Amino acid sequence: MSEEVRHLDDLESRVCELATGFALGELDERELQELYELLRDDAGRGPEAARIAWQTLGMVTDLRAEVAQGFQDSLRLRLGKDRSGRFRNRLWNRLGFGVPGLEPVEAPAPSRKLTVMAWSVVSALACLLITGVLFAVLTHERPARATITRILGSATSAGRALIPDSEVDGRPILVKPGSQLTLRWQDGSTAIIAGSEGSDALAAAEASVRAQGLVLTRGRAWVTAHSGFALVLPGRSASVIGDEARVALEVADGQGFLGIRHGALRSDGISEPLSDNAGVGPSGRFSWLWEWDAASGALGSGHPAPLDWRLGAEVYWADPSDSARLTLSDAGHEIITLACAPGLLSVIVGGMETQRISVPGSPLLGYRLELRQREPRVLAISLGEQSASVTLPQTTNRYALTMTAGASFKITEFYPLPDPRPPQPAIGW
Amino acid sequence: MADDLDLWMTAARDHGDQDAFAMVVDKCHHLIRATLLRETAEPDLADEIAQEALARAWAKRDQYRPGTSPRAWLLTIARSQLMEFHRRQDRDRRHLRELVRQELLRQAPSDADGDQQVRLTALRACLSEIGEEHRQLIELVHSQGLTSEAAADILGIKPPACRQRLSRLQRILRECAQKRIAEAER
Repeated sequence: MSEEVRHLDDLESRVCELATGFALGELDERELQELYELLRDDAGRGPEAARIAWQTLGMVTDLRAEVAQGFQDSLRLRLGKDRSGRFRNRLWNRLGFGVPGLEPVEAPAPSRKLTVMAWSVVSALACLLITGVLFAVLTHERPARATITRILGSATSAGRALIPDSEVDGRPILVKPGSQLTLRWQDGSTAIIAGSEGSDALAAAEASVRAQGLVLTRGRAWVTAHSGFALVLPGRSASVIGDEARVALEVADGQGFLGIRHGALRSDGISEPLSDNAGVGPSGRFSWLWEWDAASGALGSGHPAPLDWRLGAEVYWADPSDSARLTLSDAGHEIITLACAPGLLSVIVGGMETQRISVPGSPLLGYRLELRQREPRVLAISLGEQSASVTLPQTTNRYALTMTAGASFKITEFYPLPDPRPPQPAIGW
Repeated sequence: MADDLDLWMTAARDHGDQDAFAMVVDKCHHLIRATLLRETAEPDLADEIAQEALARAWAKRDQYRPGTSPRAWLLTIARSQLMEFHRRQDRDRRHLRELVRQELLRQAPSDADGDQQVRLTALRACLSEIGEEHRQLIELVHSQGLTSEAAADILGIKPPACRQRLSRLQRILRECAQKRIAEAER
């Protein structure tokens, strides 16, 4: 073992570093020898070195999968120009899926002398142009324009793939499912736009920019904006007041939701300005809090619960006899219970099993459970790759969520719409 | 999702639909790469074999049986490619890098390192907490595939420091993800 590796922490640091170099294929012979000796350490630290090395290798693979993801339906085009997906680029080349090449362009026709008619047309166009420019200057109207600062995945506008550092105008922008687009306006305001969960065409986000504003017609967005910035959603519009605001937007089932992380804005139909942690949706104003109070089972204790929320959980099984129950109740009255068992989920309403969802594969395989309550009484359940929709027996906005499960049931997210964070890491969110 | 995968793979098989195959690859590549990593102990090698397997899957797409699992089918092809690799590599067994790899495989962990999806979810959350400079380093190396030397050049630091920084950052991310998973389990 190397002299410098005296303590366990030193061992971990050194093995991490060597394993990182090994994963990148950058170790020289001396370093390879050192790693080999660490792994074969006769003093008994070999297994610990191997454990650390394996953790490092796993992290490298996880990071590569995480930071270079975004394979979707217009992948061919993106892979041709985006170097970020190195695994998939190489795969695509190997598959031989060609990226559209440059098309031959016809040589321009030789210039001709302008006829009197042509001069007349040119003069008329020039007059129109001058009038338009004068009008724009006099009315101080600024063009709808924003710069693309980052793209993860694929986005298009007017049928053209968008690339970083280019500009978008007022035409619709489509951000493909699983992709994320970041825009910057001239005043420094920014917006991250992402599609919804899922892979079909409706999961794509659709938006357009204004001179100082964003129109979101589908999908999700996270906006950091300055005073006067307009936010337009189906059935709702708002405007930022004050210095800076960070606002999350989401369009779900054709309805607009808006949540303020920081700052203030004024929304139509609501007299008072909205500030930190305020949310507004089709049912009006609510407290946009996404901390789940395990004791009371409520989203943000002390606040009325919003009608639209989303819950995600991971369910694991150690033994075929394991079980977990998730109950939604209103003032102590049970509304619905989801009874989870290995390979199975039962929906219990009014004490009776109304639906049963089976999970294919080994019963002890864990699965992901997703719930989405939609106004007024619809609970969408997604279990692994199965899904179902349940009509609740009554409307409630005073629910409590309780569960009996132990360590086999982990709630990973539980929040009222809009989604508080972008799917891909982004500064400030 | 299983039905979607089957539909996409069937579209790839019946109509040569490249986009549909891209969707299958998108949903399955991490599973294949992670599975192969556990068999090879080397991320680049795992990726190489995964690529060979996916390229083979595309070439042999007419052999896919609709109604079955594309994931299982792709994993079978990946394992077949792995066996092929083992048959080819005898001549390199004495190379030092290969010795390290064999030693790692001898001491491979016996159980899977938790649920992949949970790990990735936790990692995603941890990535959102790191600074811009660290994010740039991760993207340069793991997304754009630059060497640590090339990344060091862009970041204006020395190559050894770059690899050390990357190693420290990965360790922090791993600890952060483990902490998040542990907290969620409580």
